[in-house]
Amino acid sequence: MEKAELSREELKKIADTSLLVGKTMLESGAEICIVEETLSKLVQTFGCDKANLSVLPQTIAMTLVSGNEFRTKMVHIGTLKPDMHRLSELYKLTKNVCSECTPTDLLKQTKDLLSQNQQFSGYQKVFAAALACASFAALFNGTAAEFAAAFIATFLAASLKKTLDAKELNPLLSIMVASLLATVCVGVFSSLGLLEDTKIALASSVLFLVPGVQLINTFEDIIKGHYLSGLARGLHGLLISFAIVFGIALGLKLLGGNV
Amino acid sequence: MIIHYDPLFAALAALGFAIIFNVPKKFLLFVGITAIIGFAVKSLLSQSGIGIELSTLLGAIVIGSIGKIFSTIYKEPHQIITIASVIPMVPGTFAFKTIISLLDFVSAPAPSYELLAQTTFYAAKTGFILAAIALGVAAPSLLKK
Repeated sequence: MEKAELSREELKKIADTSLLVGKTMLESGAEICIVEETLSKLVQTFGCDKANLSVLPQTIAMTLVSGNEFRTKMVHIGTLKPDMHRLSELYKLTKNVCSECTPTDLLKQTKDLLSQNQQFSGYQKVFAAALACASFAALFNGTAAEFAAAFIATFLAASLKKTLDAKELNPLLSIMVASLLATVCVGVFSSLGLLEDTKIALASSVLFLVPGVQLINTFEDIIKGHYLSGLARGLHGLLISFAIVFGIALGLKLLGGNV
Repeated sequence: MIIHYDPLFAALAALGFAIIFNVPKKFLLFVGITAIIGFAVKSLLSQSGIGIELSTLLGAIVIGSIGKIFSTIYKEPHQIITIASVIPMVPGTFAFKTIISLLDFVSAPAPSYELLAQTTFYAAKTGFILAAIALGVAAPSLLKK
């Protein structure tokens, strides 16, 4: 049976829905390949003959073709905020899309998902960051004092970063300020003579800022042939690392080499 | 008192990052167990004399393989468990030593080849370990085109 040609309006609905799905997946931390695969399958399920896709870390552009009709749209991608729960739910939603489902249904389900509350509150995440960094202090053979210092420094720095992010400060600046605060906190513990090895507490307390998602996705994208995306993400990861270094350097300067 | 419960702390670090990355609650246990296995592989190989870079690569490949199996069984992207699970392998101390050496190098009154060599050594170590982590996690999903 031949497929019916989709109208321009129908193609627009499919493009809007697919672009929202792709944008949310990228912002949640998906790699380029997964987004491309998901969107290609999605538009074909909705009845398009062909989709030409260009997925980049900052943009998704797509041309949908059905018979003689076509439609091109693109969307800007916002800041990466790793959210594996959202990614998992979106992945499931798109996997369950059948030929009877309409783009409008999926658009509504995606918007519902976006309006859902996070699984963990902001302060639960701050506590988790502090515990993770303190665990790093233990992994680096730190003592109980370094464990405690890393926990407190990270808790304060992560709380500050949460506040600055809520005020929509430049993300790199917020990372630098958080790294500075963590360094100063550890420096204070050190100057009180509480720490045996200050470097362990210092190195651990800024690790919650490490761009883990960018790092893993960079390699995966490059190896799979998405050089531009991989390099762009890698550069973003590098900038984050520089922001952390500047924060530490400034902190050490403020402490006047007392660490 | 030196703390000696490395796998437990690796799991705690991974769980902390899993919460930061908002991993679905039902998979948190998976993340903890995967981190313990990967970290144990890395530590055992490292202690047996294999270099830290190669042992990290093999530990990350184990985590990537578990992620691949997880993704096949649960029909979820592998990143959901792998990214948080490899975090305990991040070379924090080497990265920190790189930063300190770099700061010492740039603030020295005259160029010091010793400091330059030290900075390059730690930077290379950090870079290779980070590359090993990323490559190891990605490797199992690269078997297919």
